[in-house]
Amino acid sequence: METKEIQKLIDFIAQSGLDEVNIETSELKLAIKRFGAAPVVQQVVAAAPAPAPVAVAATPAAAAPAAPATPAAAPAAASNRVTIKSPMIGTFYRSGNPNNPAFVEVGSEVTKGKTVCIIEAMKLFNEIESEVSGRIVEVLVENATPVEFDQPLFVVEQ
Amino acid sequence: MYKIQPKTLFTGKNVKYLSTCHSTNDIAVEMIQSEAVSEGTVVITDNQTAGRGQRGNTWLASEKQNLTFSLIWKPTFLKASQQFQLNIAISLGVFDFLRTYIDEGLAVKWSNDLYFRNQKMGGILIENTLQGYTIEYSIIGIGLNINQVEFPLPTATSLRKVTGNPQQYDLSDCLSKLMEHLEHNYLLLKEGYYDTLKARYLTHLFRYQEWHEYRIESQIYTGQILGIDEHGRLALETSEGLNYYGFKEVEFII
Repeated sequence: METKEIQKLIDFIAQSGLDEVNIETSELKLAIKRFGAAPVVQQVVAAAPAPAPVAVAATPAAAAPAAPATPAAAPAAASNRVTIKSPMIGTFYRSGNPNNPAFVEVGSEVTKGKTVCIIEAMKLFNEIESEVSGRIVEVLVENATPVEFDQPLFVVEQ
Repeated sequence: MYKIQPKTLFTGKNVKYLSTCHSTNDIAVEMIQSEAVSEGTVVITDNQTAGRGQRGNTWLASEKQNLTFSLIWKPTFLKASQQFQLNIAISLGVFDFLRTYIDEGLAVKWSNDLYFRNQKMGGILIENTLQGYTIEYSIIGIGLNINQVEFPLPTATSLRKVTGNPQQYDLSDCLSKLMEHLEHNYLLLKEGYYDTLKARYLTHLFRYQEWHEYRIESQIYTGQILGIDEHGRLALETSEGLNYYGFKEVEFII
């Protein structure tokens, strides 16, 4: 049985009002059960010499893993703006090295995980990564100046 | 080549050797950005051409004489604001390794240089990548003078210069032992022995509770170190009273 056919069958059952359908042939065994709104498909391959059908494991009701908390990216005034804050006290640097260009400027596009600055604290260097994708609209701190815990550093427009 | 079999759980079990490279920390950064790196991986070279020290400073090491490597850990159990604890554990790891060869005169100069009396034997450069408020990766660059006996600066020394060992130390053997001491302290950190580690750090801190001269905002003061605060700032008592200083705000007069 092909995936397309199974899909058709599910659609049919979804509209039918049936809660459970079992189909068994020499080649396969198919059990479709409805949990709430979404039907669940189970296809068990029978021990047959016939060519093995493609196994379908559909779990439409599977919950997506919860998004991890992003404390550094607190929402700013506008709903689509996110502030990147300093996770520690230290010195804010816009580049990795005094001779290198800044990681980001106003207008730079950033992706999640992109380094936006370095915070140096007692000779430990911390690459601060953006937790959102978007565009830098504000740089709030001067290069090589001290920053406090939780001090806003950048505003990103998503 | 470095063939080591340290008695550790993970530290130094995977060693990437490069005969020459610009900076082992930079190679380590490239590795974590491009592949899955196991915790405890080491990048080591015999000849580091552009080793980095404190921002913009360079670390110079003679070829095949010393240890220059970077170690990758994943201290995801630490908050970014607790990172000085990591610095303490690493400093103690290197200190403990040296202590097996040298009985007295060793100290950790705040925040993470290794000193024998008034001379520097090694340095540490830690680079963390942060995701929000937690540490994702920590790249620990360590430069330790082992066999080099000639130095252009009178302020530098090495293990062999201090011990006067007639033979060169075996660098693989040193690296292997160093991995064990580093991991021992790292596991203490992981288990939450913050106070124990900090107390040991203070015990071995260069010029702790002694009166010496310091330069603060281009003025010379006589002061004594009384401790370290939670951020790693130096608690220094001078005629002005007790103040906490960040790394660039105070300079040791040695």
